[in-house]
Amino acid sequence: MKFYRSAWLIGTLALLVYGFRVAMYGAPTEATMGNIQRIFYCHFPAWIAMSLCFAANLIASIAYLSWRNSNSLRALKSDALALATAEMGVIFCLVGLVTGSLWARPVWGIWWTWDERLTSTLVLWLIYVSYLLLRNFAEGPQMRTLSAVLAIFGFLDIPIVYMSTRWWRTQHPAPVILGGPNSGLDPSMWSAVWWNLAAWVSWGAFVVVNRYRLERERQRVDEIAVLRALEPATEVNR
Amino acid sequence: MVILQAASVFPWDTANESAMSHRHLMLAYGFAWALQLAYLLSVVWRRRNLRKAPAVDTRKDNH
Repeated sequence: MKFYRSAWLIGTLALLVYGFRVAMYGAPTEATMGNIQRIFYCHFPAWIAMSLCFAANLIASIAYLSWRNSNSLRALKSDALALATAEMGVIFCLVGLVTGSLWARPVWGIWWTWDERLTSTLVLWLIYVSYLLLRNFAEGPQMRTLSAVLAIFGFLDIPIVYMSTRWWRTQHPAPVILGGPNSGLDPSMWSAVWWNLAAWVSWGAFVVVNRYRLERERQRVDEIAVLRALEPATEVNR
Repeated sequence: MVILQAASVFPWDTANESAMSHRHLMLAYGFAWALQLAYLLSVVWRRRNLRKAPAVDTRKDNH
């Protein structure tokens, strides 16, 4: 198992390095923005990976709510997965926000603007940060139930973020991919997109698996602590 | 002072004529890599600390 995990990590790091190389040297320089457009190969995969993480968080949260009274082991595993994907999603969201801001400064002349896409994304990040804070400052089954419900409501912001550039006139450009007529990438840029997408999704999955294992171990430590705390009481009752 | 001198090591220029010399581009990739690696290291660190917890072997159960 350890061998597979090491191979996965090495393969992912190799993918990231190759993806970076293709983004810097393989992809052509964009005509109007120049080299700064190469941020796209880091910015776009971050949003895709974030969406996958939050979608997994939604599914795990629903699974927790379904199993919490009938199958405690499955419920705890779902809860651990929900936490792992939420943390990774927050990291990817922050990468997307910061790389977007670094891209905006030379292109728009500003670091930030309160347009619908940027604001709804910031709200999304804040919702999941509050989810993590709730998990950090509360304990027990009630915390798990509350955080699962919050995750379901939090996910409602994802479609708003995605559709914001279609519903409103925004500073942020309209979707380049799946954006309808007169949109799309130059075919020579797709190679860099796919390599970086594969690299960051693989990275995200690797970190989520490790975070999930950490949380499962922590849950088991808590279980053992509770059982040990009950031992003297059980002996007294005998 | 040392940091300012070290800045010249990085391939930045104001002309932004090549990809690797573009300040914002390198900052974006640097931030992404640094944050992700820091998060992975924090997970490894927390897991190591948990395993050092007194007399608790959490590795026996299935995952």
